[in-house]
Amino acid sequence: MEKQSVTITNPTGIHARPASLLVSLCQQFQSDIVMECADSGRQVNPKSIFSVLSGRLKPGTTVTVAADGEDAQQAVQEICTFIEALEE
Amino acid sequence: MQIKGIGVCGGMAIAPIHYVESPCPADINEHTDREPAQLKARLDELTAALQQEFLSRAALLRQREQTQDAEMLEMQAVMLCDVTFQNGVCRYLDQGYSLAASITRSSNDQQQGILETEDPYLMERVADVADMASRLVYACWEIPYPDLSQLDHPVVVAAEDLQPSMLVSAPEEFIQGLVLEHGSRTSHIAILAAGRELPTLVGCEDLSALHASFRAGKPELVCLDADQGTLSFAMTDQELQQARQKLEAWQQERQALFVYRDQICATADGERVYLYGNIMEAAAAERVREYGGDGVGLFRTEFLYMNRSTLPSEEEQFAHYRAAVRKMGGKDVTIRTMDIGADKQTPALDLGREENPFLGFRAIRVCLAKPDILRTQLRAILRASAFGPVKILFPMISRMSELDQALAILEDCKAQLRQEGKSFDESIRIGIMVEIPSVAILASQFIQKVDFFSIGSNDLTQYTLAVDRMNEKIDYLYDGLDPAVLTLIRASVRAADQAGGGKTCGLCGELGSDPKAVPILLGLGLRHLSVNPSALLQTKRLISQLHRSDLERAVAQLNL
Repeated sequence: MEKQSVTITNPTGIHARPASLLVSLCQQFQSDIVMECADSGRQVNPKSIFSVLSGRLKPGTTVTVAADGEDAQQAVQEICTFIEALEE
Repeated sequence: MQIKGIGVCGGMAIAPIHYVESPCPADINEHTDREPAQLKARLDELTAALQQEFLSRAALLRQREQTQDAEMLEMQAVMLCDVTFQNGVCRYLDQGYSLAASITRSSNDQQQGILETEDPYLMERVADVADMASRLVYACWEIPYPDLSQLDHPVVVAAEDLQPSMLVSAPEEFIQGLVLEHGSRTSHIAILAAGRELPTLVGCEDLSALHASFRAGKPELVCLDADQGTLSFAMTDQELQQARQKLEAWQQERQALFVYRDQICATADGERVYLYGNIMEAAAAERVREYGGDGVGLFRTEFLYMNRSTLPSEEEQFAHYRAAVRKMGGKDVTIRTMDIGADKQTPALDLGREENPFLGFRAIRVCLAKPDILRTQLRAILRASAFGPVKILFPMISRMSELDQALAILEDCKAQLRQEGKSFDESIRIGIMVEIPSVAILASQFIQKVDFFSIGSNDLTQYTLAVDRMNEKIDYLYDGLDPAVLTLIRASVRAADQAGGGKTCGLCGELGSDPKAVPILLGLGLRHLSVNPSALLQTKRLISQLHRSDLERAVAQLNL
């Protein structure tokens, strides 16, 4: 199991377009992936657009990305980089 | 029989009606005895087919550079195949619900999940989920979804209301006209229709008779006359014949104008006049090019902000502006920063009610109070300028301090983009609207700080004469050719001419396509006019028939 925390900083949070980009990124990995919000403990499946959209991933929210599987390390790294790089 | 409506865009059409019904909801309590396993296999088939349909429609829209519409369809494809949604459907199937009921239930759950976030950015996605699920339900009923994608012959489209996305992705060549029960002139669908020069009526009386005829498989032949604001049907042979003659005359008139398309716009004695088109959406730039305009003289961007609950992002705006620039293929595109406020409001910006909205919080005043909105837009415009000639136009400037602030923000945005290594036109030209008398009075001072003026004749008339142009009781006082208005126009033109350095003064209001006004405007020295695309050809013809003596006479009669 790989884990890493990341804070969402883009001004509108992970909504609509960033959400679908995140989902297509996550679907490329074999590993099971879970994102857990630090404030509420809510768990989000980043391979599901509906789970992401209803996950309230607003600016300022810190999430822990956890992945389990062969490509877990790469998955966690790429997801965190993706979230940090969001500008929109 | 005749139905009345409000004409949005002029023109005529005679064709059978095609009524687009609102999608029928599934019964969420419908149960079935069929094996869930069998239904799940069916679900997989339908999902794969619909996914393919979404993606091929998206690919088509991408080809037409409708990036945003394409993205919406791609998003719907992702939603359709989503594991949470699909698992939900299977769970309801296991409980004995029918396939249509299970799809609808799972879709409702996802919509609820999004609604509970209370995030305004996501509210529009709820409609996308409902639309996706409704299409899947229709596929499972084996009934064609009520939209326009299957059209194969010319029709006049009728509906209670129509999703803009439906019009955008329809085969344009078969749609001859549009009649809607709902909608107003500024609704999104009306703007799209006007941009496509589609003869359109909104706010029509009851269309149920036409609906019934379409349902019965005997669609009525209708005559849509958008100039008169009428829709005729169940016509006698004589009426139909008259309507056909009128349509033919209208088409011939249009055809006759096409010879002016490839001619350079100039007066009869060779004085060059630059004639541009006004647009409200990038797709309309196509018309400007088709009619041989010299460029886009006014891109009214406020419509990118209207009829939605969130502000458009930099990327979204950039995509629009770049699309317009590319369509114009090297000709100028003048983009005006948003003029929200007064009669143009949006749920994305709650500006509150005002006693006197036309003299209130609108356009550049809103932008300077909320500079982030202006920054986002200016960055998008600047980035589009890397793809072709773009000019920036600030609306509703009334004092020098406003112009100074706007220019300072623009310089900030340029510096930011340079730092980020994003390219834009370093010598981009900047102009202001002359629509408030104070600017015309001090024109020689304002022109020192900008490259061009664009006279907004509608507002300049309204503000000079203190006449509300929406008020029918004082309609007779609203006159763009009033000597006071013309004096201000002349002062603006002279200020630009005297400043030298290639500075120009143009006009982009309705006066520019008024046959009475054109000789006067040219006589006052205006050489840049921007008109609605539908008026481009006839204005070019008019200009080509005018001699210097006509212009001199028109002005001499005024005693300015």
